Amino acid sequence: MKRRTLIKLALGASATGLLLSVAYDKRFTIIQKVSNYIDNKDFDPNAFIFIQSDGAIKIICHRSEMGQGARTAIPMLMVEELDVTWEQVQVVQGLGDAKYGSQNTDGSKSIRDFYLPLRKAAASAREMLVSAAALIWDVPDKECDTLDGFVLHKKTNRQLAYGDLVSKARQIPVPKFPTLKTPSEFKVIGKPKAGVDIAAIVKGEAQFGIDVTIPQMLIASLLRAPVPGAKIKSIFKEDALSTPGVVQVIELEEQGRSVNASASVAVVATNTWAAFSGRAKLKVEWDFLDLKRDHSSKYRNKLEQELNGSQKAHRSEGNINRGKKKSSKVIEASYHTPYLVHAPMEPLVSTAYVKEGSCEVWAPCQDPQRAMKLIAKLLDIKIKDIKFNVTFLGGGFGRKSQPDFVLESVLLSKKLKKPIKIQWSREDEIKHGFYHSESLQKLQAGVDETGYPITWHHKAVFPTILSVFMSGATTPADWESGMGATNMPYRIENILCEVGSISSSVRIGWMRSVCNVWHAFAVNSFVDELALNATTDPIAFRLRLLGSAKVLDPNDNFPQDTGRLIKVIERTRDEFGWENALAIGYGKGFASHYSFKSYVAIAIEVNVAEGEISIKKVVCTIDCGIAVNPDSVRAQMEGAIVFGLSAALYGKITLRKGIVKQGNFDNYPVLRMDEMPKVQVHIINGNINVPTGVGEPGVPPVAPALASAIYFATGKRLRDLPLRLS
Amino acid sequence: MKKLNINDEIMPVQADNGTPLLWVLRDELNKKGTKFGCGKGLCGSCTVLVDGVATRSCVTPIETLIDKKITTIEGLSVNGDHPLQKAWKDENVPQCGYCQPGQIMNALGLLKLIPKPSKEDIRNHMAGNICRCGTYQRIEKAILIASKYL
Ligand code: FES
Ligand code: FES
Repeated sequence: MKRRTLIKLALGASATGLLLSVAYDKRFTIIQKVSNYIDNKDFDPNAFIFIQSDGAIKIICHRSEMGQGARTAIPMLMVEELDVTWEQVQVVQGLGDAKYGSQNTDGSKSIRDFYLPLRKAAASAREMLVSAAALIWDVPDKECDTLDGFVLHKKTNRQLAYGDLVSKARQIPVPKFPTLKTPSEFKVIGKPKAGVDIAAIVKGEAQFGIDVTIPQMLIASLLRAPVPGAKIKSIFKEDALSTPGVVQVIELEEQGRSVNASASVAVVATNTWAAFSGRAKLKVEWDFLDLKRDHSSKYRNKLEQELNGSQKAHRSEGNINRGKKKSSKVIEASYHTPYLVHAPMEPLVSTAYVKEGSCEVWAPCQDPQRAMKLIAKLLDIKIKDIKFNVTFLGGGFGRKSQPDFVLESVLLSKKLKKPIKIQWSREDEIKHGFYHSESLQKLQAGVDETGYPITWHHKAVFPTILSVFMSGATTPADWESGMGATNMPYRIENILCEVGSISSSVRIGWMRSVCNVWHAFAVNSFVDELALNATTDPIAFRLRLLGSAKVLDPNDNFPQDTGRLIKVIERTRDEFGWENALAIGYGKGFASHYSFKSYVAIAIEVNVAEGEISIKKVVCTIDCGIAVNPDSVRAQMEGAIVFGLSAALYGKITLRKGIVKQGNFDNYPVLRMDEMPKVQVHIINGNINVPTGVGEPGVPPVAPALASAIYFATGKRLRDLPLRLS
Repeated sequence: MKKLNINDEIMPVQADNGTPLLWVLRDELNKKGTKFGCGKGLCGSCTVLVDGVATRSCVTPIETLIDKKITTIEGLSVNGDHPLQKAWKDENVPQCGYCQPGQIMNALGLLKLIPKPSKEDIRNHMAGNICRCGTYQRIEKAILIASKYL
């Protein structure tokens, strides 16, 4: 093949500005190195943009695509600044590689963190192409312009295609301070763009993790310890082994903290059905040692005990005891939320091929670099000897940022010296999750004679996510409280937010919006109860609590601005028609929440007839700074509402002796199309220079808005999730 | 040897009689558009048409399919321009995309039963297919649009 990849540009970003953090500094050194070698034809392909001499342009998407639209929005940033057309561009998924900076696709930050760096990378490339053309024509750079993949010299009516400029452009130094377009010049950013992979998806051609096939590959199904930490006592493998297609039954050791893969027995076969069938006949006896094994019916009491036990303060202002004395009334309520599991449509799956001194992986993974570090350790090889192919993810929601499923496939391939795919069943996924924490919260407010709170006391107990990294961790970190508890925006004189400590016998993980989900449920529900006490409309009451617009944490890179919160609240109220009267049996509910640096408000209309809850309408407004791809923002909000409703109505994982009882969509139901309300999404571009999170912030307000709508319709205040009327 | 008629092609198949069609399609015939989501007939990711009827391939053993006509997402069109696929693109339906081949095939089954479905028809028929990304509203609209062109 002809050597065609000529320009290999890295980020031309300078390490200044709002968005740059530690990770960026590291990447900046890489950039410097690349620019030093820019003349060297043989340096490894690097960074994000490749322009070939035939004019074809490859843009790397280094973040994982799980439906949130990264593979469309990330290239949009570069197409914009490079001044090319979509027809010229091919989007290529980046391998796992630290040269891209963080690839950990979570926290709704792919756009937030890369908005400026990637635009600068593309703007640098564009300026180098302009300089190249200017050199050829012997005219000043500033007389040249670009359009649709060409450099133009309007004065002399000359033009050169980018592809024809690559060899010259390669010799131009990477500009340190490329000029970015101003928002008014945007042609791509802010305009709706259909997903770049949609044609492949509707033909069934998009390659997900499950679709990977490697020559000689064997497929395995694992019987995992029913409780993390349980050991294999004995294995009865004859029946499994005699299943047609099964080639081997083999033990896999537990992999400790960070990986958190349980001990298991692998049934290895020539095809998936044989692996599943063999596994169904496998019997393993487990030794539970003296493992703590939680029981859901007792866990609730434990949460209660801990809530009344000693607490750690994460926010303290004024003095709630003194404040309470001044109150005319004290109001109190407790809220309980259960464990949840992710249930992405594509069950977990990973394919690995370990050879002497190297390893290749194909997996639907949200965080390839973390997995690579753990693989290097497991195999005692260098990270550079690992090739990590990130496939499409059939949903992720945080589950696929855990490395356990990848490391299992690597370990098994190492043992068998063959390419191995480990295919999880739905039951495996539900029973061996990293669960969204169960929680119990108590809110207490002392109010004055008008119903305005003088004190706000928020106590929360839930197993901390830290426990997956540190054994024995039982007290949540302050950033966990910072997701919706300590950063609640209301103006109250005396505030105390505390957390208690509790352990869990299951693995805790991140799930779409994390702690924001239960915090938003309790805070919004309680504000609703306070509004009721004050006989004030819940939206009017919130606006009263917010007062005049204020920037709450001015030292933060993305400070919370209550003025923007007020705008999403008002917009939702107006678009919903909040003032309109409702028929008997109907109810309306409202909630608002700030998370992942974005502001969201949701209003819901329900009908309750004979105990059946039917959701009629959901109106949602988001302010995410600037919506890079408005259609994708809309889709994410629609999806977050469905995700939130599934949790609000159905989501509940329960344990018996530490073992998860649920296993499939029959006993872990999710929202289906016949229950789908009419959803309306409104977008406010509250700060056109700073895009903020989109994938997650839609979820937290859903459950509290629904609970308050049900209260409106029935007079029953539901304080436990899922919301059940009987 | 058993033979299956898949997308109008007669294909010899080695798998045992009891093997679900899903795994024969995916592992033996390398037709990977049909997806695995639950294995229990609960989610619809694996939907194909059997003699024009939307069928969950994960719970359909191949022995029941001899002499039947099977249509998978790969057989829907050559260029991805079936009215359903076009409507799916126009409405920008997919998020992660994983459930979408099953959604499209179930929608096709619906349109074969009821060529001009009402919203209620769509919601009831499509309730068997889960989309965890929550694209339901767009699916409903895309089916309505496609039904106008069929
Ligand atoms: S995989 Fe067949 S219905 Fe879910
Ligand atoms: S698009 Fe992701 S499950 Fe439907």
